[in-house]
Parts: sequence; C-alpha cells; structure tokens
Amino acid sequence: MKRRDALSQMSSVLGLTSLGAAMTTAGSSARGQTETKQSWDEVVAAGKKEGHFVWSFFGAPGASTERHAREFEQLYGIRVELAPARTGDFEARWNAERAAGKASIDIRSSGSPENRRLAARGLDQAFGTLPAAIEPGVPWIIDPLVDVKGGNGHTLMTSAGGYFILVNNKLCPPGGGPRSYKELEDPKYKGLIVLSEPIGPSPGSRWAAYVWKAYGDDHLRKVIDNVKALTRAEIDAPKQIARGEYGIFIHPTQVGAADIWKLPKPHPFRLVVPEDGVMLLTGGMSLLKDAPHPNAGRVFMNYMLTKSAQQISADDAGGPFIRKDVTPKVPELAHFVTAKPFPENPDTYEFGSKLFFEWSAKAEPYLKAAGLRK
Amino acid sequence: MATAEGSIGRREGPISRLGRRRSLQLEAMLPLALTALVAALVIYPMGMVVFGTFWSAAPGQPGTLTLENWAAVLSDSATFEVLLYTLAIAIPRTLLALVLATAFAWCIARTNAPCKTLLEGLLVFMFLLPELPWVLAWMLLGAPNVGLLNQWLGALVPGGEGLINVYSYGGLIVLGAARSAPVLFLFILPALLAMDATLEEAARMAGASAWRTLWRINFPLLLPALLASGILSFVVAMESFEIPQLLGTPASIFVFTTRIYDLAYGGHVANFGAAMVLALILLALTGSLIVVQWRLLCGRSYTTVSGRGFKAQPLDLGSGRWIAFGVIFAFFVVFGALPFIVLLLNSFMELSGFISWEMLTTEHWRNALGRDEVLKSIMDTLMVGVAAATLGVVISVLISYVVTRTGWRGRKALDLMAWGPWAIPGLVMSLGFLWAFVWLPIYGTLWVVVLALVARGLPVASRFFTSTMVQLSAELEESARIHGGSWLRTFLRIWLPLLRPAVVGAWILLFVIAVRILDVVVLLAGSGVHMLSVDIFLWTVTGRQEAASVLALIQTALVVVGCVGVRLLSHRALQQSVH
Repeated sequence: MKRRDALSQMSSVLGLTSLGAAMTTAGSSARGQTETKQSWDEVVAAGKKEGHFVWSFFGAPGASTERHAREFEQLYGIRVELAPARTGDFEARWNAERAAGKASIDIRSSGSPENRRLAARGLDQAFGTLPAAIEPGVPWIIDPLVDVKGGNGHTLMTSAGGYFILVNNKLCPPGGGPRSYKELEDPKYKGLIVLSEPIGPSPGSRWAAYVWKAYGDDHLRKVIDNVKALTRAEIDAPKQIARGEYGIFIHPTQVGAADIWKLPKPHPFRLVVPEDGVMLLTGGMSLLKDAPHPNAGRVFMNYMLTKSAQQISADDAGGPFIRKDVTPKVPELAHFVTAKPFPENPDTYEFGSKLFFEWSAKAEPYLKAAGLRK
Repeated sequence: MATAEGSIGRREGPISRLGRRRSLQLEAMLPLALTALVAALVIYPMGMVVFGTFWSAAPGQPGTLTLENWAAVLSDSATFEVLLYTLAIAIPRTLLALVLATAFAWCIARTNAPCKTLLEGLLVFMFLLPELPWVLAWMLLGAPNVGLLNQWLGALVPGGEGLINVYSYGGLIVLGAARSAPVLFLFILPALLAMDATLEEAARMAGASAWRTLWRINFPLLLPALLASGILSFVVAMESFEIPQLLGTPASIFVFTTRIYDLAYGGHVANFGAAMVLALILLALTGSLIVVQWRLLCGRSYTTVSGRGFKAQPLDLGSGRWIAFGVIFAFFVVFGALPFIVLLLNSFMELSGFISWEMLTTEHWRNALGRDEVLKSIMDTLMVGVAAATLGVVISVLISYVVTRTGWRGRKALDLMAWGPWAIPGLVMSLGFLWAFVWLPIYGTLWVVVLALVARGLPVASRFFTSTMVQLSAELEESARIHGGSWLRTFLRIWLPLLRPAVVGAWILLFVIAVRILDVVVLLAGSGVHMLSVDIFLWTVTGRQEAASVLALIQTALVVVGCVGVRLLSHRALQQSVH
C-alpha cells in the first residue's frame, strides 16, 4: 500500500511537473499564451465539475490503463470509467446508444486507423488546444497533432510502435537470415512462415499493403507461397515461434511479442529489425461526438501526452509510447524509435486509408491462389 | 415422488368459489401472459435483427430500406461453400457428441457401472470449464510436433509427435464433440432416470436381447430427449465460434460463424446487415429442424411416469461394468482433466504455455485477488447468474407446461419463439438484444443483462423441461383436479415435485450459461457492469492468458460452488418433504 502511495505521489509530481513546465514555458512569452492557460484552467474546472468520463479502449484493462486511470484520478479528482472493447463491439454499442440518445462513451483510443475511420465519418470532435501537445522541446516520435494540423479530423496520436520479424533460432539459425522483408520471398523459407491473416484491419494487412506497394505483385505472391499458416491469434503467434511451432512470424508489434521476453535467456528466438525499414503503427485517441463529458475527456487527452503518463506506458514490457524522453522497460523492443522507417512510413492520413482499401480488394484472390483460403 | 403421491389422495377442504375463479382466470391468462413476455424477450430483439437485414445501416442509424444485403449474400458463392464446410463439421460433431452423451447417460442411469456419482460429477465438471481457456489449453496440448501430448507421444513412439493435430477437420470435430457431450449428457440423463424399468424387464421376459430391448424400448422412449438434444447440439455446432476461429483458421477452415465475424467485425467497415442475413439463413435451417422434431413426435406417447409409480432396476453389465467406468473416466482425463491441469499450471507460470520451475510465480493470483475490479466482477457475475437462472427456470417451466400440457392454440408458436434465441448465432443475437434493450430505462444496469440472459437461456431450459414433461402421465394432474385441487395447487403440489430433478438441472444449466456467456454480456454490460466472462475474453485476446487462467479458475470455482449449493439445497428439501 505504501509502495502504491509512493508511486502515485511520484507520478503525481512528475505529471504536475510536466504540466507545470508546459504552463511556465508557455506563460513566459506572451499574453496570448496567458489566455491559453486561463482557458485551459477553465477546461480543467469544467472537467472537474463533470466529475467523471468513460474511456473506451481496444484491449483489456491492464497494468498501464489502470495506472493511467488511478494517477489521473489523483491528479484531477475526475473519475475514470474503463470500458475496454474490440472495435466492432465499441461501434455496435456506441451507435445503439447514440440512436437512443444515451451516448455514454467520451474517449475512444485504438490503433490510429480506427480513429481515422471515426474522423472520416465525422464521429469525433475538436478537442481544442492541449498544453501538453504544444509543450516546446518535447522529443516526439511522431507529432501528436499530425492529423489535426493536416486538417484530417481530430485524432490525437498518443503512442507509436513498430513491427518487426520474429524468428525461431532453431528452425532458422541466425546466420541464414532473414534480414529484411524482401528476403522473405526466398523459397528456402517455404513452410516456415506464419502470417497474420492479411484481411481487414489486421497487422498482416499492413505488411501486405506496404510490401505490395514497395515490391509489387510478384514479390507478394512469392512470400504468400512460402506461408505455412494464417493466424487470427496474433497475440499467440510469438509464443508459437518461441515454442518452435513455426519458424518466422510476419508480423508482430512490440506489444504483442513483449511477453516472450520473459523467457529465460538465451532466448530461442530473435527479433529482426528489417534492413529495408520498420513499419510504424500509431495509436490514436478521439474525443467522440456527443461525448457527455467532453471537458473531462479533454483533460485526460492532455494528461496522456505528459511524460508521466507516457512513462507509465513505457513501463509495460513493449508498451507503446510517443515521447522519446521515456525509458522503455525492454530496450530491444523500442527498436522503432531509432530504426529506419519502411517507405511511406509513418503513413499519412490519405496514403494509409487509400492503400488499405486498395489492398483489401486484392487480398482474397491472393490468398485463394496460394491455397490459403477456400 | 413421495410428495406428489402423498398429495393426491389428501382432502384439501372446502374450496371457495372466489379461489376457484381466480385459479381459472390464472389458468386462462397464463398462455397469453407468457406469450407476451416471450415475445418481448425474444421476438422484439429478433425483429431488430430481421429489420437490420433490410436496412442499409445499423438499426437506429440513418439509412434506407434495401434488399442489397440479401442480394450480396445470396449471390456470393462463398456463402454456400462456407455452409457446406460448416455442415461437414457440424453433422459428425453432433452425431459423435450424441452417441457419447447417450452412452454415458445410459451407463450411469440404467446399468450397474461402478462409482456412478463420481462419473456424473466428472462429466458435470467438464461442462463447467470455460470454453476459451479450454480451447487455448488444447492449442498447447495438441499443436503439431510441439504440443505437449505430441511430445509425450513422440517420447513413447517413434514419429508419435505428429499424431495429433488440433488444427484440422478432425480436431474441430473431436474437440467440438468433446465439448458438447457433457451438455447433452445433462439433457439425456433425467429422461433415462425417469424411464420405467418395468418396460425393459417386460421386454427381457418376452425373450428380447439386451440390444433388442435397447433398440425397441429404450431408444423410442428416449426419442424426445434425443431429438431435443440432437437439435440443440447441432445448433451449438453450427454457431460454435471459438473453436473454428482459433483452430480452423490456421488450417484454412472457415465456417459460418467465422464468416459472420468477418462481416461484422473483421472488415475495415462493419457490415452488420450481411452478417444478419447469414444469421437468418442459419435460423431457417435450425427452425426447420424444429418442425421435423414436431412431425416425428406428433401423435405418439412417451409417457413413462404415471400414477402407478415405477422402479429403476439397473442392468447388470457383468465384467463390462469396469470397462464402462474406464471409458467414461478416460474421456474425463483426456478432455477434462488435461486441459484443466494446463489451465491451473498456466495460472502459476510467468508466461502461458511455458511450464517449468523457473517460470513459476504466484504474481497473477496476487494481482487478480488484490484488484477491486476483479472482486466487483465476481460479485456482479454471481448476482447476474443467480437472477437469470432463477427467473429463467420459472418462465421455462411455465412455457413447457403450456406447450406440453394444454390444448392452447398458440402453444406451437410459443415453443418456436422460445427456441429462437438459440438458433441465431450469439454474435448477431447480441446485436438484436442491444438494439432492442438500449431504449429501456434499465439499460446499463445488471437487470438488462439478466433479461438478455433469460432470453438466451430459454431454449435450453424449455427443451429440458419439455422432454421431461412429455414423459409424465396426465392422470396425475387429472387425479388432483378430480379431488378438488385448483390449477395452481396442482401445479405446485404435483408438477413441481415431479420436476424437481429437471428444475435443479435446468437451474444449474442456466446458471452456468449466465456465468460463462460472453457475446450477450460484452455488448450489454455498460461501463459500470463488470463480468468475469468479459474479463477472461479481453485478457485472453490481449495476450494475458496467465491472468485469464486465474479468472477462468475463479469462474469455474463459482459455478462449482453454485451447482453444488443448489444440489445440496434440493437434496435437503427432498429429505424434509419425505420426512
């Protein structure tokens, strides 16, 4: 209990410090910024008056989401209700609630493609100026306001991550590759690859769309021909690689694969940062249209960009974060911060949306031709 | 039995005219009131599903009336290919499960197989294990080459490591049947227990062999229960999701439910309309099976419990009694104990699936038991489970009574309505519940979850009671009425005591379903309602299977405690009524 209190206290100090730093820096320059601070104080006061908000996110309530909620509650006295849900479940519930005039969810965070789809349909709303997003000198991996500044809706980027190739050392000894995405077309990898099913909004779709764009039809057909199995349980596939069930997994995120780093060393697997570049994934956050507690939601969005909140994310093994000034728990899994990005990465709003739809139209015939789908 | 028989001849004293009139009113009103209630719980949400197939957006969202969803699904050759694959899995799975369940129930109910209480308990325990962690445990046990079972076999027999492959048609069929058999066993056992052994004895005395007796006496008498169980099992097989999603996809085996999932959840944009068309095709298939069931049972008598009383004389299997015991016990070891042990070990491992001393930890248990959210989930789950099971039993008994014991014109429609929620895959039915119930003031509370679970459980519980009620003779009721008993009194004093085993069985079934079910809860539970099934699902799909294993074990403990508690209460009540 004492440890928890101390941790909370420390986090509070960190959070207040960064927020305070933002206020101080902003306040020293001009009257306009003083006004910004005043208006932000009003937002915080309004948020406190609202008292609570509902945060829907993709996944399960875990160590970091619960720590975020607790720290935020301690900092602002605004209660956080966690509502974890898959994309389809969230949309079904939220749509029904809105139709009945009972919208209960304020914030939705997920992979940025989902948030961008909300933005494209006008289902998010502007969140105004967030002090933490304009704090000078923050080493962002990706600008949190990249979509807002581009006039593409109101998605706030709150995390970043990178894909890589995971390889079993016994089935594919370290000397023999693969070293890049391009090399995966080599017939020597036939029957070794497990691929995240490249249909719909899956990690496999992202890989397929980008390599198809970069290397063309022929390359993609050759790689798919080497695939032994498709999986929809991407979260389990790294364990299957570690157990030696398959040789190569295309393509895990650092979040999905983090667990296997708990295994005793030497690890039976290795992480390959592709020489032709890392594909990047951003996590987005949207203030939803009809949110019943918009001010509390805005205060939370601001909080999620602070160093304290970002460090909580980085404290999870493989946890995604968007600031470079935090310390990741497993440095090896933070490869994406410094690695060369794959062509067209990080994706822009226009490029990403268009490419995914283009690829989706092609996915099924490709898989059928390779005998991977009947 | 004692209570029922004792009450028949007892003088009830003068019955007032007012009481008789009230009883008549109640008897007349019951079918109508029940139909209205079931319509609200079933037809209204299903109507939303039907409407969804003709609407260009999700119900409640701006859109237009359209036939596009139907045209798109019916013109897609993949629809019929997937249907064929689904049938190719569901039919053998159903037959295998039915054969296993009938054989197990027959051994326990009608033979002198040893340790029958233990065997029954083991099969019930298998039914209590949650599905998702069970499937994940089988992925660890039966993965080709690296699965634990394959490794053990490889150590015993050269090349043995390739013998088991859960990612195959065989894997889907066998594991599906193993999952269904304990449920069907619970359905068939009461019918076998209620069967009058004098019929068997008469056949044997007339010179019939054991097999001929089984075929000519037992099988026809069991037909209602077998048909009900078979249809239920077939529907469960057709709408099974976790097993094909996790084990079928790696082998490129896609079925109806994975197709529905793809349409509703797998694409860049949810296509609920097309998913619902597929669900209605499934409804038409299973609905036609109900009609077949009616035709087969129409005009035949299955009464085996009458006012004469009966005795159940077990069949002597000789030395075969231990073989029967061994087969059932082996079934439990392979399909119950092994995955349960994996689940238990997983909960103490730092990483799921990597079982070794150096990975041992109690962290997941400490985390789970130290979190307020988990304690709230346990409390909410218990409250929902008890309320849904109790309410579900009351409504189901009354539905079965109206369907089997009255001549009310709309009884077949009532029966069909009660079947509805089971015939539509949970993924889609849950949308119907959401769209129907979101308008109610209780939306976002535990009560809306309870209502949906009652509706979802009606088909199971009403089948359970119906197959038992058709075996009960009308003379019991008539006798009570002749002696001046009102309808209500007859129902309470004659029917309920006779139905006590079915009531206990149905309550347990509904409780287990309510505690374990995911699809309905995941959409209806507002942010303030926590359910263990949702936590287990979310923790599993986000890779925290060790923590999910802890919750799955807590969930199993809850259902075990609930079931044992109800059995003890029922036993005590029976003892008191005898004395």
